Amino acid sequence: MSNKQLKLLLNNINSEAEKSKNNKELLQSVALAIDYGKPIKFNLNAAISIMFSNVILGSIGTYLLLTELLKEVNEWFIISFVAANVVSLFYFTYFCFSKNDLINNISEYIVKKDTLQDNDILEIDLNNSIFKGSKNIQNEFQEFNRGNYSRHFSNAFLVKKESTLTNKSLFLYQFHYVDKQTIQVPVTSTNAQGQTTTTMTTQTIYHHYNRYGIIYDLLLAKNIKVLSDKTPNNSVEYNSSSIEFSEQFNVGANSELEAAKFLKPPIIELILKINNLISSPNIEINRNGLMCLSFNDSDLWKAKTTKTLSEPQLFYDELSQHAELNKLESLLSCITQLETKLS
Amino acid sequence: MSTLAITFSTLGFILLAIFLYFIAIRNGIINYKNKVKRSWSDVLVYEQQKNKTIPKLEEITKQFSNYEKDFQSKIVELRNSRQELSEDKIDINKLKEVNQRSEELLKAINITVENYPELKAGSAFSKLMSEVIEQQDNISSAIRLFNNNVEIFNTNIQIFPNNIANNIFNKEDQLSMFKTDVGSESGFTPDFK
Repeated sequence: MSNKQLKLLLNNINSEAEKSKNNKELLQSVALAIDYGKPIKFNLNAAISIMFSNVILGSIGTYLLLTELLKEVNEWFIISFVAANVVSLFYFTYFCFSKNDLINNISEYIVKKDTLQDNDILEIDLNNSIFKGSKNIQNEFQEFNRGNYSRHFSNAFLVKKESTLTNKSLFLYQFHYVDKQTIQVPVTSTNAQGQTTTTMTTQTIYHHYNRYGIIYDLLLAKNIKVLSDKTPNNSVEYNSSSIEFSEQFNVGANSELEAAKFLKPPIIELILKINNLISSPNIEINRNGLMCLSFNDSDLWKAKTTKTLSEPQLFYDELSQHAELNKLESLLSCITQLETKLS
Repeated sequence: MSTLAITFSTLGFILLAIFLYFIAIRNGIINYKNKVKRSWSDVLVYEQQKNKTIPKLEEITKQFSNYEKDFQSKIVELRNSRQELSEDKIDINKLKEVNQRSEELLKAINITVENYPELKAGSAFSKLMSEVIEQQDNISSAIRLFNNNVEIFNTNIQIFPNNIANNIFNKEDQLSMFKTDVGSESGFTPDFK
């Protein structure tokens, strides 16, 4: 099978997977790879041969340059020759990786879609949701006060699971923010006289981060912040009697009574349990009872899979099984418990 | 400045840093001890809340003729044991006694309820029972948090160099945790100084 045919097949699988509305249709897209009957692997022999020649020719060129064996040949010609080989080597390395990436990216997309379908999770359009526009929840929670350069929601999902206590909407989101940092870097330069001078230049670095979270209409508490990586900006800071809890969390509320009422011992225990489940959790409940539980874990809606389209039958079998989202399940169970304990 | 002066001032700074470090440890131990005390009073607060609900339950069950004879005495015993619990003294054995008495009382209530299904069906009784269950849940959690605090406190005064700071400044003893197995307890009840 030529690379062209394989690329065509992969594009076909991708478009079928995109169109699929349920697991059956998604599996049918993977079945296209099985039906083909040949390994889903790009033939990279030609590219590898060229890369190998590049390495040999580049090495010869470098050797000639260093030893000056071919004095009659212009040295710029050899430099150009070496440079051309290096460029070609980089290009074909990128070519090989990009071919494999294509298989992996389509596999990842199929796994993601399968996981969401298996767990009744619906990807939502950010433009028509609480994550963008006038109803944007960014201003509702201190959690989103991050990133001095930019911030936005990059993904959002609606969880339709029956396991949630009530029929209230539960959203999952991915929040991307960028911190801009300006630093002074020393740059050493040599002038025509061979003198080296060091000057400081300004360099701008952009640090990209992601936070993940759950938005849920808890309604049973208001104006409470339990933050593990920030100091709450509420009027009152509350100190719990639990040493472990106090060392992990800063609590903010409008009054000490409000905080004490919310932080009953079973709630403290539950929050400590959540803290063991996810990293850097922040729990915020706004004035309307809307809860934002945020954290660093990126694997909440990603099922653990080991196979890709390069092993179509095994990949198909793996997708046929129910994709377990254990961490999400545990977290939803904690939210259910929280709701039970507060009601 | 002479070499001797530099040596002495360096030594002085090092000693000052060590002293300040030990003071920080001492304050940390005090802070942890206060947290243990606070978590102990939380346990007592929730015990008190439960004990306020139990007499109401008693009032409802009293109306039934086959009312357990020792019911009243169990409530009195529970109330007396509860009064002996003090916020100033962590008395694990007394807490165990209170818990045991409260369990016995709840068992007695359950027996009465089993004999009178109409009592079980009553909304007032169900409401009170769910209140008691919730308070019991609060007490269990408060005890677990208290135990957790005691564990952290004990570790804090045992590890090096905190044990040295404790021996010099605080002189705190290890505290006992609350265990449901009554027989295994030594009866050790430290007093807060």
